[in-house]
Amino acid sequence: MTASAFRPLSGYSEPMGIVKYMGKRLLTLIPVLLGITIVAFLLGTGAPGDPVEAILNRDGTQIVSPEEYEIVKERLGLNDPIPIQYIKWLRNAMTGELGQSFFTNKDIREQMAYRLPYTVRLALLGLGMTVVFGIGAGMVMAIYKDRWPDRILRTITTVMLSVPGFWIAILMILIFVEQLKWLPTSGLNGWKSYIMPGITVSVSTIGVCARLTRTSVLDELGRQYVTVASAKGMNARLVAIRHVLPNALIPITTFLGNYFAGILGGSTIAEVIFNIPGIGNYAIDAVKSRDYFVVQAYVLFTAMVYVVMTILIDLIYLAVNPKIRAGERVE
Amino acid sequence: MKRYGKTLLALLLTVSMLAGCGTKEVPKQTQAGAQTEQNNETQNKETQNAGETAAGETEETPKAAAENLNETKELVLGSVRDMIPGEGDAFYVNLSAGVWEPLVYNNNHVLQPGLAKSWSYNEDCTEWTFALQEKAVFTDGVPFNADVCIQNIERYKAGPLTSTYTSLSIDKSFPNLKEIVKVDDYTVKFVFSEPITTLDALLGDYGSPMISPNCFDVETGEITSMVIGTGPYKIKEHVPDQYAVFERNDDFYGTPAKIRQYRVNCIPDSETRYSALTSEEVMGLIDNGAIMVDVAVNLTETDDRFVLEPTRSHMSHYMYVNGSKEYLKDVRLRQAISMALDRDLLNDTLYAGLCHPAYGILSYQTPLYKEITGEYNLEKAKELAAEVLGDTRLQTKMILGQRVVDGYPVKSMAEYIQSVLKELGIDMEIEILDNSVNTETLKSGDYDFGITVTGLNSADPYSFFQSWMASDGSYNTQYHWEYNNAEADQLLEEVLHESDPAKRQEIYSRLQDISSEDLPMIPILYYTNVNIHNKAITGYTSELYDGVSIPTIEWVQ
Amino acid sequence: MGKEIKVCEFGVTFHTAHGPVSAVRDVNTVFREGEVTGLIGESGSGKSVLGMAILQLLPANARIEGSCLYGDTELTALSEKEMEQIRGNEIALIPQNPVESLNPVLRIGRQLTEAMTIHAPGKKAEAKQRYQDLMSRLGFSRPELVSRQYSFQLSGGMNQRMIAVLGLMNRPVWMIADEPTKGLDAILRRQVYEVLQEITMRDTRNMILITHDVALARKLSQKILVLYQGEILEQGTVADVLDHPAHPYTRGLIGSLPKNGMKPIGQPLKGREDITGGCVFYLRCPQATKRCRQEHPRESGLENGRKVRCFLYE
Repeated sequence: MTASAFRPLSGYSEPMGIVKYMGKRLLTLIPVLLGITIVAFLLGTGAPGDPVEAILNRDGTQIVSPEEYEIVKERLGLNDPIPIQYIKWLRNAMTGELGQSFFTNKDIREQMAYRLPYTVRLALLGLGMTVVFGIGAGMVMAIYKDRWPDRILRTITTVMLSVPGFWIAILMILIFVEQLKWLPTSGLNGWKSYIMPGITVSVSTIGVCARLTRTSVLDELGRQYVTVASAKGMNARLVAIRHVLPNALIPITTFLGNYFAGILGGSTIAEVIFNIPGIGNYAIDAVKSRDYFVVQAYVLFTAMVYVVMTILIDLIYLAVNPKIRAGERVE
Repeated sequence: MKRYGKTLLALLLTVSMLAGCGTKEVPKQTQAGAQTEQNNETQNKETQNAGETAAGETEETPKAAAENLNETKELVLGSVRDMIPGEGDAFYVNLSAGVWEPLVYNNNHVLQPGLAKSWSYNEDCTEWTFALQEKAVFTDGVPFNADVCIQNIERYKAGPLTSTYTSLSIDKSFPNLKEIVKVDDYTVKFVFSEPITTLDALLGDYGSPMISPNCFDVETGEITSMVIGTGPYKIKEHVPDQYAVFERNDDFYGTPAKIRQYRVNCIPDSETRYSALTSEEVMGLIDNGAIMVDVAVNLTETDDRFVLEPTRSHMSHYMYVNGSKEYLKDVRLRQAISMALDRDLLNDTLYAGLCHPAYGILSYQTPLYKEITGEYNLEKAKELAAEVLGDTRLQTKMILGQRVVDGYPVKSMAEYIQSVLKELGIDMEIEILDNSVNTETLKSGDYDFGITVTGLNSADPYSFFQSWMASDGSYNTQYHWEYNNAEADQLLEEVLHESDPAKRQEIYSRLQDISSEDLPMIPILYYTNVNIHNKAITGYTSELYDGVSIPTIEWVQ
Repeated sequence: MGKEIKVCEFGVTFHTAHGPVSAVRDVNTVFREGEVTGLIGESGSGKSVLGMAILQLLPANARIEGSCLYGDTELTALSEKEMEQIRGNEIALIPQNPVESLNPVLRIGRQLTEAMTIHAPGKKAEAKQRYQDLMSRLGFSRPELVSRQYSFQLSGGMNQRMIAVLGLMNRPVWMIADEPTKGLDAILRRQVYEVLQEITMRDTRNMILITHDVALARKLSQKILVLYQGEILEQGTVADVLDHPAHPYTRGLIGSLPKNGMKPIGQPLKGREDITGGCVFYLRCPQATKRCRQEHPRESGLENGRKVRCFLYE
């Protein structure tokens, strides 16, 4: 009996390879960040609108004296030509100094640090709800394929993924706050305040995730290795957990990773409607009032988050799907 | 398939439990409504305190019982913006919160003593002397006196200090200040290089905040910690952009506030605000633009839990006219436009008749108002317009800023004007612009009409008239009106040096006449602030320049 | 009695969206101990279904009729849990499609180990030893290395041998080999044959070999069952069935082998519409009579324990 010879995994050992890979990806962060902040700065300063005017005359009743105007303009560094303004900002940013908001005079980094946990909390809640209800519904649909639970859930999830978040938000306020008085309208008084924003942020993703899970699980259940696993004498439970799930979850994890990266950038609609002091809210106000430095900081942050998250997603995918990780096929 | 059913369902449950652990916060007990755990704690402490105070003040039992709600129940209000803009803001907290006090209060353009008991000026208005309150103490124990007053004024020199409300600077409050003299512990004299007739007006409200020297940095003028004032309330707790809690200052030297503790929830979204009111999460809404007038009227008509309290406002709706444009520079056309607007109709439709038709530049709610009536006559207007335009059909554009559109039914107003102008031979298109873009467009002159809602920013109307009517006035020049009236210029020159208030009144009356004849802009409606609140509270008065005063609010027992 | 597998009036029906479909009908046979029984037939003849039915590994919409006795135990009456104890333990499967039969995201070693630890928890070390032995036997030179790999890293032939290892982990009494040479080239087919033969010699001689490869069946089996459209048309010893085929279908099948000239069995002949109720081979049988069209033949016994389902032998 001859055995085909095979080569072991390629030259590098597994852990080293992953570190090198991560390193390479992190390096791509730099040109991305530079590019995005330059574009954002150009767009911000190029857009019509004067932050000095906005600061000194907020409610439209103030008559701004030219002297005041000049003093404030100088103070904000807006007399420099745009490239110089950008370079000054960049220099500061590299030391972690993000400047002060024109509007509130508050330190931007402090504000971001203060606001970030709220956004993260909301993002985690959104992710949690998607995982529980999205994957859960998907599994139910797969189990009861073509029977009534599947059919009902299919309709519900289709509706969910077509409905815009803000519409759901307003509907919920109407029902749960005004009619039933179960929930508070806004603010953050305990866990109840996070329910509606959490739903707003995750509703359509749950719909998509459920569909995705259904397809993925059904795909796996039809595979030969599932039968073979049963043929070993494994009970259905073990087969589902050990064999089906790891395979079925692969496409779902990458999907969820992308979603999470997106909502970490601040689920603006939910934050605005429910007045959650997250970074999305911060950014919207800054855009409206031409608060350049805040917008820059926001852009910087979300770009970083996005790049890091995509790396993480790749790593997760790597960990979960050995086909990527291992080397060549053997002959 | 069924085989795996139970397993996968079990997995579902496990996953959901795990997800619950990691992501949601530990559930805190909340009651429906705005009260939190902390509230409960503080309320418990309050009832203890209330009991003690009641005993200390030896009040009779019936009176104590009657005032009980004010002592035990927190009042919750809703606002559009955070009551406490905080560090970085020149004033730190809204004046109406009652935390800090100015030297002079502007109560509907009637200047009243604040931390300055009384004041006087010399004959040529170059020296003003202020007598200060002697019993006022800051809540950190620092007594208010001349030294502290001067320290505060020195602070303005570090300005202009920017703020959500208005900027604070020495030139704005004390123009041409030459010297400050401490006459004695409670008297201060200001010497100016140029005569100034209306110093007290400039100092009104946001013009002269007095705060404890311990809370600001001498060099930068920035407030570095929670602001300390002398007013009837002090700040108890603040979560930025969420809510602010204030408690009564029991050492206040004047009439104590009625309610012991109140909280203001910051609710920027108008729908949410409305829901908060109807679900009784808040007892009332404060802040400009908190609720649209027609919405408020509708609510009070359909729901008898709420009542409308019109309070004074110095704001008015004005229609800008770009006087640099052909045809529009002809005053007859402007008069025609003004005559064609049925202001009563607008008032009744958009404001349920609560506002007031405007023909002159100054609001009827200001003390210097001169009653000017005008005419609504569409036929006459058409004739007048025909005189100017002939057969030409004029193509025009009206621009509206997002701020006014969000806060007032200005869009409907614009549409009405559009339909009316059509009859005069003017086709008008309407553009709603972002605030900044709107300002830039006005400055570039690339518009024909605009609508704004604005008013005086201090008790002294001089700067207001100056910007709108003087040839070198800031609005006039920046917005390209090219308005030029020699008499107006001269009058404005005079009033600056006129020290007799009566004579000043005459000059301003004449200026108002000119404004209605010559129409540098077209006044439409004088606005009334509409405050809506739950009938459970009362005492809404408009002691303040603009808005509701909180120290007078109390629970209905 | 021992541990023979006896099926009586055994049948499998699938309940599909288009109505019930009968995949296997009226099977009566005994798989004797110490014998390799070859189940031969075309694609769609139902041979795999029959094999899987014994193990009760059919999809949820399948219904089994009849009886399947394993020794004294009626398999069709067992609970799922009881059946699980038999699968992989006493009756094992070498499945079709080796590449698809292993989970692509789990390492091979783990999948092999669990075959044993399911039935004997805690015996991980023994399992490891067992599969290393088996792998060496079956031609893997570095079992430790291979066990850490994934199925997609092995060639087709390696996968084939691997699933054989999998089947043998618990020293089963019975082995069911489902289409072991499907889609393989000549070299690999030979390898498979060698593996299977070794199994019959060293591990267990009780085997059910399901295949369309008649040559393989001839080399390995002692007894042959011929299936066509879900029915056993002929059963008997290898020599009898393959050298002296009785049923017209079997004759056609033998005749179609390459070494015999590859003469095809006829297409459905003209004039014979799709008729239910008659013999399943009626449409293509060169010796069909009117009776074959209307009546369904039963199995008739011939000498030597042979059985044929044809009116010619009644």
